[in-house]
Amino acid sequence: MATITVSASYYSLCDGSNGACGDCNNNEMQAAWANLAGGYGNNVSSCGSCNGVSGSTLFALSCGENIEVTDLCEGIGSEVTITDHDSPGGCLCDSQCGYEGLRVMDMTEYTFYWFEGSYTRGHIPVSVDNLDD
Amino acid sequence: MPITMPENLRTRERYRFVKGKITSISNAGATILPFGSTEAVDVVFDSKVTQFWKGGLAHTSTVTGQVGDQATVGAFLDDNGHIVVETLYVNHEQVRGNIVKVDQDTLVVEQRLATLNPQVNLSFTKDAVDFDDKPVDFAQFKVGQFVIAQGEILNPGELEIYRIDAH
Repeated sequence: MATITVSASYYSLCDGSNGACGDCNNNEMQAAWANLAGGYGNNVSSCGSCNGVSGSTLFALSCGENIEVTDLCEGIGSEVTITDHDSPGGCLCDSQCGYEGLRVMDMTEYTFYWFEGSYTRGHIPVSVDNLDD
Repeated sequence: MPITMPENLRTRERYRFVKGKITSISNAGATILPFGSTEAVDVVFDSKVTQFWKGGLAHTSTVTGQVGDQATVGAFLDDNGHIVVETLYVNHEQVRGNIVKVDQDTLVVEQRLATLNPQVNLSFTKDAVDFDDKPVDFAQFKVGQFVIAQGEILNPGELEIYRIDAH
């Protein structure tokens, strides 16, 4: 199991039938990932290192893959399903709650609200466990 | 904003997320018609827990919102079957796109993926900050920059922003 610390923001464009994987739903515990397996590519491959994670070494995740995500600001965890391909904001090394992280995850509003209870921070540091490795 | 819901209620099984239009609201609760649904959802407010947002950086415990407003709600099912609101955001929206015009104190942003109003006008609250909580310096904005901003919908295609990142 590989565990990394990265940064996650949120987006509101999933309508239940769109996104790279075709089933992106704003009302489900889902997220987009910058390096999506299956020919989608790595949107952050040129990004430098941030808290030990560089774009070129970011592991790939597949459509429908479940990962364990923990909000490091609130200490709350949950399994999240990857359903889209996105790199929210380019090469950004975000800082929040004493953690740094390369911004490589975009959560549905359902997911971001579950972790944070609000939109206020805009992005959050998360630990990501790739359950399949 | 810290999470307020008691831990025994704040579980995945009890969690409810609702985004839609307010069809009724009182000091006790609200009815929300979720986008894409014909089944309205009744939610209740708890003065010890519920926080409201309508613009800017601050939240309030004062009931906020009117019939017709867009509501985004994070809530939890209690033991009595009530959906208790943790936070209710009124007319909150995020914008992502490129700056196409910089005016004196507003930005015009072209969104790439928006289904409605691809071009939006952004004004700013007095306490607007960036994603590192630093006050916004308007001189930093240039045509072509990519921005992520969040704020209150004032009118279709017009938002008042409290947090923005530009790159």
